[in-house]
Amino acid sequence: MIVRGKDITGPLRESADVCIIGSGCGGGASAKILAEAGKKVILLEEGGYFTSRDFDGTEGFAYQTMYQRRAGQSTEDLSVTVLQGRCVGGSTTVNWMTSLRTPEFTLDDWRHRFGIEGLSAKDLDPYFERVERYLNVKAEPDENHNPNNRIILDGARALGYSTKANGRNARGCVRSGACGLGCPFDAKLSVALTYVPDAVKSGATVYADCRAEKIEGSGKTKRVAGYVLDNERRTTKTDFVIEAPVVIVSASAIHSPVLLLKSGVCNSSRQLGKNLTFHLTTAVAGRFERIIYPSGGIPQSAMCDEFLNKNGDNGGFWVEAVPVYPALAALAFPGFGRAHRERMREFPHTGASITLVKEIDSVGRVTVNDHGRASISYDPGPKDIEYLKQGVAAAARIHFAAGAKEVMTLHARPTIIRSEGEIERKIRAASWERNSLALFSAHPLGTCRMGNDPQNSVVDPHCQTHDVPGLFVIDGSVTPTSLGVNPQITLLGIAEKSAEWLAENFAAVAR
Amino acid sequence: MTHMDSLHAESTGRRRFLRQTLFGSAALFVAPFIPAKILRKQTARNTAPALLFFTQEEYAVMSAAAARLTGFPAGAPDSRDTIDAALRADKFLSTEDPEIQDQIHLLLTIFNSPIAALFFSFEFSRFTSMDDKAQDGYFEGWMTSSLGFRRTGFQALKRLSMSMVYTDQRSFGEIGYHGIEAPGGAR
Ligand SMILES: Cc1cc2nc3c(=O)[nH]c(=O)nc-3n(C[C@H](O)[C@H](O)[C@H](O)COP(=O)(O)OP(=O)(O)OC[C@H]3O[C@@H](n4cnc5c(N)ncnc54)[C@H](O)[C@@H]3O)c2cc1C
Ligand code: SF4
Repeated sequence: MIVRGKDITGPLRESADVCIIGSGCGGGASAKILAEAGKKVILLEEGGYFTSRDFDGTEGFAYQTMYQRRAGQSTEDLSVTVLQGRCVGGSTTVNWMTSLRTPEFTLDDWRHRFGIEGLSAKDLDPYFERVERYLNVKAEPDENHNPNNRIILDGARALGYSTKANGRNARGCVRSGACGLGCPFDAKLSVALTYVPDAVKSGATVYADCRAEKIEGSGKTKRVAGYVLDNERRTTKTDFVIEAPVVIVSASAIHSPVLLLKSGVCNSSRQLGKNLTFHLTTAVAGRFERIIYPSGGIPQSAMCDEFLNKNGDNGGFWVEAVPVYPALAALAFPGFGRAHRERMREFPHTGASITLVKEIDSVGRVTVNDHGRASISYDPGPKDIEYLKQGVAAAARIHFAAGAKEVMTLHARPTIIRSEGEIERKIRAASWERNSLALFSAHPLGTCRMGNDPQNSVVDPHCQTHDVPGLFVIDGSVTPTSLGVNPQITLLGIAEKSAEWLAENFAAVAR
Repeated sequence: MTHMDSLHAESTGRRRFLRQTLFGSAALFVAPFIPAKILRKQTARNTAPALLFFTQEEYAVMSAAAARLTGFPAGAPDSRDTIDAALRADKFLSTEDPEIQDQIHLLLTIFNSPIAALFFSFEFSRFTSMDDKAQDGYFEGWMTSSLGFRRTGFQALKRLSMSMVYTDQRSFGEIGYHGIEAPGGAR
């Protein structure tokens, strides 16, 4: 059963075997596995429950209703916009569907540096296979790439860079381009269309519009308390308390540490909220004579993986296409005024690629502000900034090789590159200070990191917190480092594995 | 204390919060130098729309800022071919969280203050009284300032203005955006 906030009329008091907070990758996959194992599962989601009937393909609707902070979530200084979903299905309802396994070198790094056993490529491959089968993950055939993705495939190939089509979790995709706004055709196999309904089929109850504010108690009587929200009016309606011996926090890498910090638990390591990674992202936009129409067709179907861990330092970057909708373009395009408006008029001739850095020396952190909300800080490290510059340069080269007439970066002070020969000079001359360049993250991770040592990690390799038996964190918070690839398959694989372990060891855990 | 009491027990001290943000601490530094008379001064406007969040003065500042930033002229709210970004922002911000609302009020106050303009640009003038060229120069100063909080303030105004204009379908025709097309939207 899926219950919306508007259908909850009085204070809600319930009990269950497992209470899960957040319905994205971590929460949705855990709910399915545990409900199918016969556990009574309650799944709480602060955002609303929407279906393809609601998705109208506009940024206005999507950002207002399905994104955290109406798509305005960012670091305190506004230097990095942090995009996340806030609805049943979590970020998967609005994500761009690129489906990639965790790079082996990243998993090796976790074993060496954090003593994590049981998460090698060999251990995770069966879970990845299962997830990919369940979500029908397949690479698109050549004829399905839109002109924006062709820039990457053709440009990178011409330069001799490694490039390929990536898998996507879709069935019956009509290539509308709306993935980031909610799929109106039920073709995207998001968590809301797969794990959540399957959990419900096995008896789980989903409460949408219910925000957990605090976790209390220990042992068999843990209590999750919070508010039922009227998300349309942005007010609270009533309150709820759910009692359960096992609680899983799956509120994402930004919101899980906030909930735990507010609850005053799981921070004996002093690592809670620290180690935030972003997969730091910026973009280049090329102007082409031909029509690209960057919002049409499959948004993300190809990438260039030439530069990831190329130096063997676990860092580097990646280049992907990015769907460009008008408001997103307007925020990202440099400058202001008439020149900005002129640039917007070239929208159909604009191609855009993002470059995403697998961080090695940036420092990110989530704390709680006086209003009980997430306060995000992020200080990009010099090595990561260097990779960001190289990423912008590589993306610009790819655009020129694919026929761009000029390429602009997202610097506030417009940096327009008119030929390949200008790339290095212009990129080196530009400012890379905070708020001099539009930066994004759609992949925040790492704030309740996993490890063997309770002194420097928050959860163990089964995602159970070191401090409170029966309290788990299963979501993007647990990764010990930046991944280097888009995270959903990694997070689903880890969630399935951890939830399966929990189901098998339930009696011991729920003491 | 009950669960709910403890949920409510968070301090919401405005000054404390503002001190914790880059923009807030700068705002607290500059604000005492701005005479109350200037903060309250009304900017003339022919038709005053009913506002949910902005004061009339803030609305005038936001209108002028949005017009310069987006290149779309500020128009009467009922006009068919202009988008009143400030009026849309007013509605949007009226349901924002109090912490964001506080920061926007402060930002607009400082942004339009002649004292702040004197501090930052050696020019004693309200933003709304500057001519187009001076307004562009003033924005340029905020956008590229060596002070982080001014760049943050610029980003806040730009994001608000752009998102109000480019989520309005009336802006789509000009940029050749046709909305979501299916099946086979690939061109
Ligand atoms: C625009 C966009 C594009 C993306 N594209 C891709 C892609 O192409 N490929 C890919 O692999 N990844 C992509 N991602 C990232 C991927 O979707 C996420 O990494 C993944 O969904 C994270 O899973 P999670 O479980 O950690 O959190 P989420 O999926 O974000 O789910 C967390 C949920 O918890 C809820 N919540 C938060 N706090 C509370 C609370 N206190 N009480 C109750 N509920 C709460 C939130 O509302 C949210 O629904 C994209 C993300 C975005 C935003
Ligand atoms: S491109 Fe495919 S998966 Fe994405 S919204 Fe359109 S139909 Fe759905």
